[in-house]
Amino acid sequence: MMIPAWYKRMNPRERVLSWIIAGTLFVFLNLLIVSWLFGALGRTRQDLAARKATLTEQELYVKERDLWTKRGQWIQQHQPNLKNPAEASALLDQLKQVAGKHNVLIENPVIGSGETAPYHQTVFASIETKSTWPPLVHFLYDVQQPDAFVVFETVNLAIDGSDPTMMRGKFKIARWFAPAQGAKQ
Amino acid sequence: MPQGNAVLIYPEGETLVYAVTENGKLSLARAFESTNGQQLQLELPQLRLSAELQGINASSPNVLLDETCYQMRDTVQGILASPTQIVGVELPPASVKLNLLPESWRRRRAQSIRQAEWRKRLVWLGGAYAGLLFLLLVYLSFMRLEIGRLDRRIAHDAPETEFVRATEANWKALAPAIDSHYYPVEILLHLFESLPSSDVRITAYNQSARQISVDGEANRAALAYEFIEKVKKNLELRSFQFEMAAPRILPNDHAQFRLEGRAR
Repeated sequence: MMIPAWYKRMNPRERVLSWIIAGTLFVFLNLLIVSWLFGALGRTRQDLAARKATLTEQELYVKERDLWTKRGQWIQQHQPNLKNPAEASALLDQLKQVAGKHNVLIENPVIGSGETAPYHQTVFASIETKSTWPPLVHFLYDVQQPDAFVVFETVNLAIDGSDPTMMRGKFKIARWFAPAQGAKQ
Repeated sequence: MPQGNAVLIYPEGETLVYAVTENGKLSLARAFESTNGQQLQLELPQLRLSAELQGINASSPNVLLDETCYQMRDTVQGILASPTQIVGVELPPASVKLNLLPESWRRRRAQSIRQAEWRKRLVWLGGAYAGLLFLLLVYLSFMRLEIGRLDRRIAHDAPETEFVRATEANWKALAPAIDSHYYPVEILLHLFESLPSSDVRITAYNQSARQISVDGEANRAALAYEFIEKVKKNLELRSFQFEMAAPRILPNDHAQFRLEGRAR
């Protein structure tokens, strides 16, 4: 084996030192390589698992395509469109009508237009009720049906402090209309 | 060694060896203490006779005499009545204890051998390490290729599933309006179904579109825990994930509890 001239010129102490430095550099370089390699393997394994999960999800979506097509059509057919600001008033009228039917007393009604989200725009009516429990159940049942797109955004129910046979309710009831044209894709 | 039968006569140390071979295999060997021709003249006929008695053909056409015994050639030819060839017998060198190699040279040679062995081990170790790194790189490349293949499949199927994703997102967003599992009346019904006994009472109920909290009181803390377990097991309430903090024990030993449910 050819020994370089510069190595030959070194004394033993210098040679030992040079070997120590070379060995340390070699170890560090290899640590870097191994660290990078295992890091890359770990990340790649995660990426692979994520891709497999996405593919499985896609396969499931393809299988359920018919169901979601029907659901999409149903939403398009049934979700009401917001025609004018009087919709909030109409909602309150509807609530009053149902409450009257079941002898539920409505107090402090407030109406307004609510948030606009990517999938809906809302109008709401806030009311307080006082009734016994059975009429309140009927009221809740009649107000909310899937094709009415009515949501109880807040509900507070408690026994009336002055009369334990009565229930006190505070509701913010909203109707979720179809989003404005172009907001939903 | 000649083919067929042969007789070899050669000196070995202070003795003279007489050997008969058949097709290269030794049949008979005898050592004479004296190496002079007179002794040979006396003993060789007797030896030949005893060989014949043992069934060994001693009248060989090949008689090989060592070159150091050249002076006995005529005697041997006369006794064996065969032409005698002169041959040289090589002997291995005798082992001697004397070693003229300097000690420093011997140490240097041992050191060189050790270094060569270590170099060999290091080369093997380095090779194994490099091989391992190479295998890991191959594995990494294989996984990258697999990711690329999956990406192409995902991209290929994406337009087909895009509509389904969008509809699912829309459906989930509208769930409080169209899914009866989010309706207060339905939730209240299933909460009442989950009450373990009349000793557990719901005192307040709060709900937002995607969150529920239920305040109640039970005659014993164990009943409150029984209630939360039943709520968690109720399949109709599976749209929500319920949790309950430790109930507060009242002076009358009743337990006041609060259940909180979040939409999944």
